[in-house]
Amino acid sequence: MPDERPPEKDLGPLRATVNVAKGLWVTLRHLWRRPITIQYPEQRREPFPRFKGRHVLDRHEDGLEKCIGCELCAGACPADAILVIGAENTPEARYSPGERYAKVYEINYLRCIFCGLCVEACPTEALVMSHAYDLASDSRDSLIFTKDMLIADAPLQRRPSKEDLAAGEDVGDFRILKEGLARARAELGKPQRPAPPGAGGRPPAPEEGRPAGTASLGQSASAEGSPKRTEVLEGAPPARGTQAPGDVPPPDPSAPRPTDENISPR
Amino acid sequence: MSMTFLADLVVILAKILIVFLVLSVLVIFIVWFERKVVAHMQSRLGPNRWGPFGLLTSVADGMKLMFKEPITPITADHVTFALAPGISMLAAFLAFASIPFGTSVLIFGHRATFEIADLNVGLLWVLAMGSLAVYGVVLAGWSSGSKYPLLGGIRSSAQMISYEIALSLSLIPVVMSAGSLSLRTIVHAQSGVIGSIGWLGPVGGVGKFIPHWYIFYHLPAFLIFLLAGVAETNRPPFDLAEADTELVGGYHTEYSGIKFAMFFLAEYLHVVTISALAVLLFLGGWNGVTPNLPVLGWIWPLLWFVAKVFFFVFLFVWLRATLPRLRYDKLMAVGWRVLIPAALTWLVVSGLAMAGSV
Repeated sequence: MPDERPPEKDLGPLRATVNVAKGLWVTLRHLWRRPITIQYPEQRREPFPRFKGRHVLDRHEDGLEKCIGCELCAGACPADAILVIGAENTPEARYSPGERYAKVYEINYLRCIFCGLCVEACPTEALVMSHAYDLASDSRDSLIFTKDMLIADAPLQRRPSKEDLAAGEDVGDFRILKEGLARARAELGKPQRPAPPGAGGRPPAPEEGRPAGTASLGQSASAEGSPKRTEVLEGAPPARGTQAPGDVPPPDPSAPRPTDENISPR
Repeated sequence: MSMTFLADLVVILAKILIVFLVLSVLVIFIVWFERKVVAHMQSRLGPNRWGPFGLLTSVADGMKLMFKEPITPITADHVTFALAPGISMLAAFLAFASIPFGTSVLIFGHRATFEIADLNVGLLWVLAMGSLAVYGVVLAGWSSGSKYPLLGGIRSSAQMISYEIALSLSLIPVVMSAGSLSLRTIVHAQSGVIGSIGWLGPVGGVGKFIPHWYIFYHLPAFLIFLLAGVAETNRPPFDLAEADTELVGGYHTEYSGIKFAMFFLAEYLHVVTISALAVLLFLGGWNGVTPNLPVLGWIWPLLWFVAKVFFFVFLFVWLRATLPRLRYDKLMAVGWRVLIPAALTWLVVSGLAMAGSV
C-alpha cells in the first residue's frame, strides 16, 4: 500500500531553530510561574455551587424525614444504584409526615454515576446532593451507604425560604439571576427595578472576589439570627475557608457514624 | 621509592573512592533536580514529600529499587542479562578516570591533582568508555529475550554509533587548537583572554574581556557536540532507545530492582560526563571569567567547574522538558546528513585557518 500521508513540509534549518527556541522560551517562562497543583489531602478545591456530590437525605423543620419511601429515585436511577424498601408509619413510630417512610435506603457508590436523576425524581425534595466528593475506600462494602449514613441530622437549607424573599434577601441562584437581569437592563438603558425593601443598599453587581451568595447569606443569617442555616446545598456555597466542601451538620456524637470522614474530612 | 609508591597508591585509591561517592550522590541529586525542574516547567510541584523540597525522594527511590525483586525473564540469556547493567555502569564510571575537576591541592606535602589519572590520551579514554556503554545497552536489549528491548537495543546501537562519529569529529578542531588529547592540557590552553581582535578594528579591544575559551573559536563544533552529546546519552529528544511511548522503556523494559537502577545510574552519569566534556573542551574548564580569589585557593576553580557542569545538566533537563522525540529516520538523517558533514566541514575550515595563521 502506498504511503498516503501528505508530503511533509520541510521547515528549513532557520525556521526549525526558531521554533525550537520558541519552545524552550515557553518552558523557561513556566519555570518561574506558580504551580497550579492543589495539594489534595491538605488543600481542597471548593466545588461549584451545583456540584453533584454524595447524596444526603433531608429532614423537615420538625425533624421528620422528608423521604416517603416511594422508590421513585430507585426507579429513575439509570445505574440501579439505589435500594429503597418502604414501610408504613405508625402512631408509635412515625418517621415521615406521610403514610410511608423508607425503612431501608441504600445507595451503592460503586454504581452511582452522580447524574442527579434521583434528585429530580424525588417528589418531596428529600434527596439532595452535597459537595462531598472524596468517596474512595479500600473496601467495597463501605461504599454502600445505608440510610443512617445518608440522613441529615438537621434540616438542610438549600433554597431561599419565603421569609427570606419577603425580607428582600436573595440567595444563591435567585440573586445571581436578578443581578444578571439588572445588569442587562442597565446595559440596555432601561430603568432598573427598584431594590426590594430591606436589601440594605447592597450593590446590584456581585462583589468582586467573593463567591456569589456569600454576602447575602451572612447578612440574612445575622439579621434574622436564624439557627437553621447549617448547610446550603444548591445555590449559595458556604463562605470559602470556613466550611469544608460538602459539610453537613455536626454529627450526633452518640450515634456511631462510621463514614464521617467522607462527609466532613477536616 | 617504595614509600612514594605507597603514598601514590593511597592517594589514588582515596581519589577513586571520593570520585565514586561524589558521583553517586551527584546522580541522586541530579535525578531530583531533573524531576523538580521538569515539574515546574509543567506548572507542577514535583517531589516534595521526602526531606526538604523532596530532596530525599531519590534516596527513597534508590532504596525501593534495592529491595525490589530482580525479575529475569524465562527467555532471557541469564549470564548476559545479569552482566549488561554492570557493563553500562562500569563504562559510565570509568569515563571519569581521566576527567579533571580542578587545579590541585597540597595534602600533607603531597600535591594531589583533581583527577584520578592525567592520561595523555584522556579525551580518547572518555570517548572510548562512551563507546563501551553501547555494549551495555545492546547486550541488555538482546539478552532480554523480548521484542521491545531488542528493538530498543538495535535502535540504540545504530544511534549511538552514528552520533559517536559526529561527536568525535566535532572534538578534533579543539584538539588541533590545544595540540593535545590530555584534558588538563586542553583546559590550560584555554586560560587567559582572547586579547585584541585585529579584524574588528577599533572595537577589537573587547577581546581583552572575553575569556580564551574554545567556544568562541569553535562555536559550530560546540553546537554539533551538544546535539550529538544529547543523542549519545540517549536523552530526550533523542531517547529512541528508551522511547517509553513506543518501546515501553526500550532496552531496560525487562529489568527491575537494582539492575534497573544501574542503567538509571549509568544514564545520568553519561549526562554528567557529556556536561563535563563540554565544559572542559569548550568552556575553559575551571577557568573562571573573574580573576582567581587567592583566599579560596583551589576551591574557586572547582566552584567554577561545578557551576558550568550544572549549567549543562540544566540544559539537558530543559531540552527534555521541551522537545518531543524525533522520529527514528529523522534522527538518523540528522546524524548522517547534517552533523557529520558539518563536523567535517568545520574540521577542514579550522585546519585551513590554522595553516593560514602559522
